[in-house]
Amino acid sequence: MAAHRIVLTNQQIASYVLLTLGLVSLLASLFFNLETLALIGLGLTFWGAFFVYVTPTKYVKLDFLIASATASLSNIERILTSEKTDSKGVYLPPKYLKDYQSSLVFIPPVSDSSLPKFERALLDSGTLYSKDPTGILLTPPGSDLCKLFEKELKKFFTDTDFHEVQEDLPRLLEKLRIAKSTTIQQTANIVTVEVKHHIFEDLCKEAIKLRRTHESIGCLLPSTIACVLAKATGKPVIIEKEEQSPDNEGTKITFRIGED
Amino acid sequence: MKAPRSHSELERINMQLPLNFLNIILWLGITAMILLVTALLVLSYEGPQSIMVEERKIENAGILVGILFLITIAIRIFGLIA
Repeated sequence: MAAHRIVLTNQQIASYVLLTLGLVSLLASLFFNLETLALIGLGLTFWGAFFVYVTPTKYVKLDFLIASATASLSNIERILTSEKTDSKGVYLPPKYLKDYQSSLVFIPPVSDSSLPKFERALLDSGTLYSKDPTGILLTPPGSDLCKLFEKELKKFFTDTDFHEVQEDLPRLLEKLRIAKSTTIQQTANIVTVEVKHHIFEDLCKEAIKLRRTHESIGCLLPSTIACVLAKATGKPVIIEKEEQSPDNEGTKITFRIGED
Repeated sequence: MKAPRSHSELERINMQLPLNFLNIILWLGITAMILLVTALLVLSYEGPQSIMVEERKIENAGILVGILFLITIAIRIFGLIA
């Protein structure tokens, strides 16, 4: 039988120490009949139990997250390799999708500098191949993270605009401790996002090994931001470039916003 | 403060929490206030956090302790009237 090792965080250790001290103090107050000791014990026991209650338990090590995310990226790489495509993926705005809250990336068969023309017909998120225009439709790696951001912000990106995203996204990434700082700038149809010290750096290094996926769809964080931008602007979005920032402290991602 | 040593001394110990009802009311009131103010501050704060907590649980605990405080107050008032 495998032995289960319980790993406690410093916060949990502190909570259990408070709880133990409180209980000892309460018992001692019963024994010595001291009111002060009883009040101290009551306080310590309560705050100890309270911190045990409010400490989040659903946490996984980042390594596990990277290990599980790499497999789905590898599958995308296999699809792109079998289709022999090197084209940039186009993150579709909600108006082309059957499910407005979902995200899809369209990969044309040949590389073209211009964005493909889409009919106003709704694309079914269940199909892998699109006929008009011809190409592959994939669920981007950042699709669910984008939904999680919406849940945290308590609003849909489809109900916001670029300026709101410019304010909300850096604050959210900081609050969720995904990145230390984020700046979003727009020049004409080019959006530059600079993310410093983000937690997906290792995952992005793994994604670089998957050349086609990295070139076409991008790794987790750029993909998530592309989903957010496509939803907020209501226009197709392409990840133009993903590079290390000049000070080597983060990632600089360049997005191109398409026209309708 | 001296710990009882002999068996007869132990038998005489009154194992009762040395807190009266007013102590409990005061403690519940202060704790409820701390928790509710903390919940309000934490829920409106959007910067980076050094301690990981579930904000909604602080609010729930605050409301629960607050209700307990109000119940104890009601008992006290009822006791004074009756």
